[in-house]
Amino acid sequence: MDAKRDDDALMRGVAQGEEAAFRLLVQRWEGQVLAFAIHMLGSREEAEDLVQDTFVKIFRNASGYRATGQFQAWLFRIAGNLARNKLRRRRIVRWISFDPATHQTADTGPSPEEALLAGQTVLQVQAALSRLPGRQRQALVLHRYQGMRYKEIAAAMNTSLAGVESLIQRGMVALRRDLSQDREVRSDAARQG
Amino acid sequence: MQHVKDSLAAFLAGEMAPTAASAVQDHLDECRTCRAELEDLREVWASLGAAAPAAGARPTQWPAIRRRTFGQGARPAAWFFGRGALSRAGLAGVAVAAGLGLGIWVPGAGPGGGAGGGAGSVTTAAGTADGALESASLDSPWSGSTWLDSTQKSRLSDMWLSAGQTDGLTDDPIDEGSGS
Repeated sequence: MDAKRDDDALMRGVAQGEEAAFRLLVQRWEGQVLAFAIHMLGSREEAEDLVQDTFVKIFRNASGYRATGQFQAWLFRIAGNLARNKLRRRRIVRWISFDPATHQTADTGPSPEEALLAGQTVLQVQAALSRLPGRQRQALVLHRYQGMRYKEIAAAMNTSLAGVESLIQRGMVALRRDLSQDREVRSDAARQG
Repeated sequence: MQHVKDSLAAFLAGEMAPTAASAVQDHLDECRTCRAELEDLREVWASLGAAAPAAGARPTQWPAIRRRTFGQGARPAAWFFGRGALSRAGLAGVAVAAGLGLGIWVPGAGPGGGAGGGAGSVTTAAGTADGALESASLDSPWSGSTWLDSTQKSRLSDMWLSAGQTDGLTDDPIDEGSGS
């Protein structure tokens, strides 16, 4: 029965100190927050810390939550703010240490060549993503990996629909530029090699 | 005809109103430049998809989250945090007033002395070799406590700065690089 409780109902339980409600909420959303955090931070370890920090913050602010069916937006607003704070603090991109073993693609059974190529693509895309400004990255990650619509992203990022459209458009164009430059560098290197 | 490059991501994502999407489609039918741009963005979209994490098995963060929320000592005191905002503000006000009242009532309270300043006067250790510490005289209500003078504070701030550099919080290679 608990599994059917919607997020707002669970949040009411959390505000009253119901551990079971909080646990269910964590189990329901932690995977999505973790995926989001990995894409934002590029490090599994930091992403797990961020998941914890996000839910601890949610727990502490449960009494201030207004049940309007916007839990997802609230959750990702908190996670997004925490992620951008972390990025601001460190300013050092750690995608170099990105570990494909903990970040497997959905492909199954690729050949070694395909795996190498796929791994390179993953790294290239992740590196390009990491070079985007924080808000562009956040909007893109929420859209592409969390499957959120522009309206939901606008709520999660506390901005307008036009703002989200602009962030995603600019982010995509910047990614395209970055990836094509990367490709040119590699083909130049291959020619010379 | 005006290009529609700025709307292509929204078009690709199906986030445009039907009439606007139809106008973009009409333009695309006639504009090779915008069609090429759309294809490029489609490729970026696909690349992003290829880098999506698999929804495989992963350890739950619940035990750690639980420790930090429902664990022993993690929960805020219910007698205070369980109340409404007004009650909490009232209790906080009472506590502050009580603290102030105590400060006035206790003779010599505070470094520098209060009502009983003579008995509670502070003896400084300015004559010591390094001048690092000031300490209270034994008859002061502050006896046994110490606080830092400016020399010590600057040493402490140096320690914090160097500690920050080791954990990367203040280590900003971009800023450092621009200065050289």
